[in-house]
Amino acid sequence: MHYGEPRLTLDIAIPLLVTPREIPALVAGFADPGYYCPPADVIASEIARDCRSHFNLIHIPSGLKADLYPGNRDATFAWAWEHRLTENTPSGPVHIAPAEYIILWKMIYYQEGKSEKHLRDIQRILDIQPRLAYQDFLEENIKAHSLQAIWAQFQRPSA
Amino acid sequence: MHLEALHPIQIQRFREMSFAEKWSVAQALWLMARDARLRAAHRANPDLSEAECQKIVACEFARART
Repeated sequence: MHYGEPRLTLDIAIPLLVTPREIPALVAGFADPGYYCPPADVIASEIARDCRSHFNLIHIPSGLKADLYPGNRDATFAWAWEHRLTENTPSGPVHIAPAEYIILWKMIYYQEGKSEKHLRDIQRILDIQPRLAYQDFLEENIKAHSLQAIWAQFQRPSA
Repeated sequence: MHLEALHPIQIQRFREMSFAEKWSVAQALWLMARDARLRAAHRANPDLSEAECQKIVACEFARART
């Protein structure tokens, strides 16, 4: 949404790096009764996965959900963290992944699940900011994940 | 995928928007959606209290994906 159009969303996606030692602090930060947070052992098993780690946090009164994607073993996460954008807000700094990382993962999820919302989000990013700063990262990973056919269908307005 | 093109005025405005402005628009959309679902929950369950309807909506939103 930051790079595209503002739209309704009910679940924010948060890539994060969390070590086993940090799990108790994470669980304590999102405690009952305000939040649903998986038990520490579930989080530990998720971050131990080689890929596709995932767990949810839910703010119970509102039903708002965060999809958390630990990137402990993901080279693209390390790249995204290095190239993150930071926005200062009254609640503190908010780190935002580079647009190229978001585009890459939306193409991967579209390849797997065929949800067209990912295509829409990518097209809107390209509509609103057609100049991508890290084209090399994107092209390298498009090849690595065999996403050429998906990438080819987007319209690229001139910058 | 069929996606209606954005109007040039929309593109220009979205390019100008700050992080806080986009966040504010998204929050307003969320509040509007939640309010609509809450009113629907009251209509479908006229005997339930406000708190019970709020709980129904919170459960719906927790399971929803966008």
